[in-house]
Amino acid sequence: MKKTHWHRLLSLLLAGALTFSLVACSGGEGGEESTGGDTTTSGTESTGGEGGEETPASDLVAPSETVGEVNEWGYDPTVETLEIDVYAGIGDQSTFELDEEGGKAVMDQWLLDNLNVVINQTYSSNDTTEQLNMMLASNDYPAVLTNVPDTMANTFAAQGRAINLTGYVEEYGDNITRRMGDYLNMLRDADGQLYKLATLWGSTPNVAGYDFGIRYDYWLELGEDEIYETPEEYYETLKAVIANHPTNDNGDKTYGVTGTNASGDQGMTMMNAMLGAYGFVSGYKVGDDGSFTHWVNTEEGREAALLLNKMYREGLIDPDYLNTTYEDYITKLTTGQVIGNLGTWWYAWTGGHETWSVSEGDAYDINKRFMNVSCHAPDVAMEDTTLLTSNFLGSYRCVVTDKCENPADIMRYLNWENSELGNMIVGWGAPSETNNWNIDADGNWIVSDDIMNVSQKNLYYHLTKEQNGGMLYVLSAAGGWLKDDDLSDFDKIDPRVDRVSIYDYWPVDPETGAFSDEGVNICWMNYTAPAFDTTLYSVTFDPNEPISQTNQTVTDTISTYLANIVTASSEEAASAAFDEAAASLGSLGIADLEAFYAESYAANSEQMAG
Amino acid sequence: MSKTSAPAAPKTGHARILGRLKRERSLWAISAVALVWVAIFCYGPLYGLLYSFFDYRPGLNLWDCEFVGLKYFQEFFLLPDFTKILRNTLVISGLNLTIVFIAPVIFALLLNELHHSGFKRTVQTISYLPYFVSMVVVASIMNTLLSSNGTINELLMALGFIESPIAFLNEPDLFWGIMTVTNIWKGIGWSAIIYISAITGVDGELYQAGAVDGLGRFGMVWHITIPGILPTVVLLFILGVGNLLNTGYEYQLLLGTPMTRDVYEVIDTYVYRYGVQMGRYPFATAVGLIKSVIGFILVILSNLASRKVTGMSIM
Repeated sequence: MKKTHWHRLLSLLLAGALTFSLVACSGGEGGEESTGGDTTTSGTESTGGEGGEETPASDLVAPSETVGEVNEWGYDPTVETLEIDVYAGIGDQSTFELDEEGGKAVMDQWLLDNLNVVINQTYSSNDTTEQLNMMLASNDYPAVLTNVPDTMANTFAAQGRAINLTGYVEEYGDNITRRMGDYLNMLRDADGQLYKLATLWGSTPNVAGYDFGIRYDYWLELGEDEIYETPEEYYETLKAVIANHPTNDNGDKTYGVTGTNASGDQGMTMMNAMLGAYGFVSGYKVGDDGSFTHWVNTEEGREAALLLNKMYREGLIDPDYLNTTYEDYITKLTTGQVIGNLGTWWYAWTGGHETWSVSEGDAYDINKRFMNVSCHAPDVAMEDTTLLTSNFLGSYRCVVTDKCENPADIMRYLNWENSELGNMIVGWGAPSETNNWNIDADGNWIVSDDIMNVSQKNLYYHLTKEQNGGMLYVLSAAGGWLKDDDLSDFDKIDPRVDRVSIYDYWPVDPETGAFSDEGVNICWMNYTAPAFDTTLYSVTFDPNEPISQTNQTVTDTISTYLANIVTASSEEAASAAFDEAAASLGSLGIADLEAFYAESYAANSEQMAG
Repeated sequence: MSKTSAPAAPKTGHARILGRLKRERSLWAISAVALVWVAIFCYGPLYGLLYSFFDYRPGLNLWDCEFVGLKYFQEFFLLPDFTKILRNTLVISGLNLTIVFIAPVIFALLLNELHHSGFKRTVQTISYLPYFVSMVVVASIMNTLLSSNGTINELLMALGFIESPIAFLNEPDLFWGIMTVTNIWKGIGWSAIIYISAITGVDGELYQAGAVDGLGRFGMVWHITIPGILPTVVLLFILGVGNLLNTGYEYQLLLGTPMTRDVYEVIDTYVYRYGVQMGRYPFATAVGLIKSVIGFILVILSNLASRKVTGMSIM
């Protein structure tokens, strides 16, 4: 009896706790705000929470009172200070606030003094998508979100938590519409409405992409008249160099190339470089009819994979290529244990001459460097390769949320940020005597003489940029090439620099257009692959759709099969592993994935056309 | 005439409970904070289990989401890699529950046989230091040791055992073994603490009696120490069985490669990538619930088995 009472009491307590948690936790999940609209988020076809209807100009929230005069920076400041609360994705909030170089203080003051704007920016230490999901669940997020993955931007729109920007862009976003051109259409939903803007968008300013790089000094030793052009010739060259340098100065066995253990790499970067030489896009062969075929279903894919296998069997690929950290990768390049670079071009740059030129000081030989080289498959012209890809819209989006009470003011600021001058200022910091650039009496944008020496970039350019708050607040501006073309007008940029972006620049001879640094010219003189615009090939996966899991499963599985192919003990075994991969991926639904890519491409093309 | 007093009326249930609470008020006061903690952090989140039955999307009210019943539970059991994932989970957990579990017991018994207290303390301290090394650092150490130009390969080549380096971390046949050795190294000292403590609690007079009866050192360990710590071992084993499906994912994600994926992919790594990273929380919750239910059943069963076989149980 006594025991029964205790059991009853315990049961009551447990039931009470469950009921309490049920009641307590069922509230506060967005409430009314979360009920708007269709929740479907499928690629770029998200339907906004406001019914997909364009906000009439008369319904737009009016902008705040302004000074009434556009100032020298091209902005008409509001009378009252405009405060913009921003979540900027994953980052180090404490470092940002600590402001060790003082750049935040400088930029904050400049924005306040010249634009009467205050930006309250926060980062999260956890993954951006996870953080955004938590924000959605708690209904706690700021007025502006930037560096948001496309999928999450769609989710905010679908749940009615993103403001329809269509009318605001039309009314106040002339710089955005002008500089993005038809690409802006790709950000629209199925009803033509804009719920997101791109951030860090633009064409690639890079000269190199996927690289078939080699130690230049070792290549010179071979006495070759011409540089290798095909992957097979690259293999032969690596072999010859390894024969000349079987060990490095430390006595370690040398290898031609290696990889990293980063998820997404583990051999895939090498394969993607190979596929780029065949003109594949994101691992798919794109037919003239718009069909997509995954590389495991192509003979080109087999050829490329078998070449990697041959390289592995002959000791040209580092046996630790699957579990080498990035830091170890760089060390292997620096110590000469790895004498080539198949994949990301700048690894060779960082692990090569950038390190040696500092560590060896005056004794440094300019030829001791990695040369980035582009290759094409025998039957593919260099013009048709996809080694150097450029996605104009980038991967990240800017969303103005329903928490924003003054979207017109925000849009006016975003439009300023997207002006040529605004873009340069948020990227490089405000022009001044102490910054890397200034504006002369004629309005030309003159770069500092200090930054003309590329070997001192870290010391002068990057540090100075940090000290001036460059790149601290990039909400929706271009991150790519600040190029003078049909869309943008950057003709005021100092002709002594080219390929200027918010990240970087390259000094050139204004007369010839050649890079003014001899070493840079050596690095890139044999990288002739043109930039390939992949914007239309971009695909957004909704995690709630089955195709998303198919994609993840295929991605995981293919990396295992590729490793099996590459490390197979013979060509026959590698070929059999390739066949097994094709069969296995077929059963996992790779045909669905191919169809999805084709549909996305067709939809993107249609959308871009408006 | 004898005067008989009427028996006192039995107390009602409520009165009895209140009486007991009053009597034990000091104990309740001591444990009040812990009970509140348990209520908030252990029972409160139970509400979250509901998410596994809905097509929940962050930002929407749960009740506005479509009720999908057992969809995500079915999905788990119908995964193309389900058999492989379950096999890997059970094998890795099995190794942890056997070799990794028993190693600290043996270590504690051996340590107990050391008579030089300074040496004993030093060994013990050194042994539990690896427990505090983060998994990231452990992975780095393993990479350094096991890479093609790592210490192990260099040693084996110098001794003439192998002619060319072995990519240990890319060998599926070696993965479970390497993981087990690493787990033993990392946890043996820390896990041994509780057994050392249990050994200390064994009545010293038993050893004296054993000595009188002619037991040697091994006999004392076998007949006195082991039976003395057996309840602790059984308790921890039963609790460990409850975690059979919880293998963790750090080791696998840090040291696994595409070549070892077939042997390292476990439920936790799968849920991390296909549930948490992809934002598919209902799926992650469903798998968590499946694991909890199975774990609970396993604890009950192992407890029953233990009671029947050894006479010891935790409930």
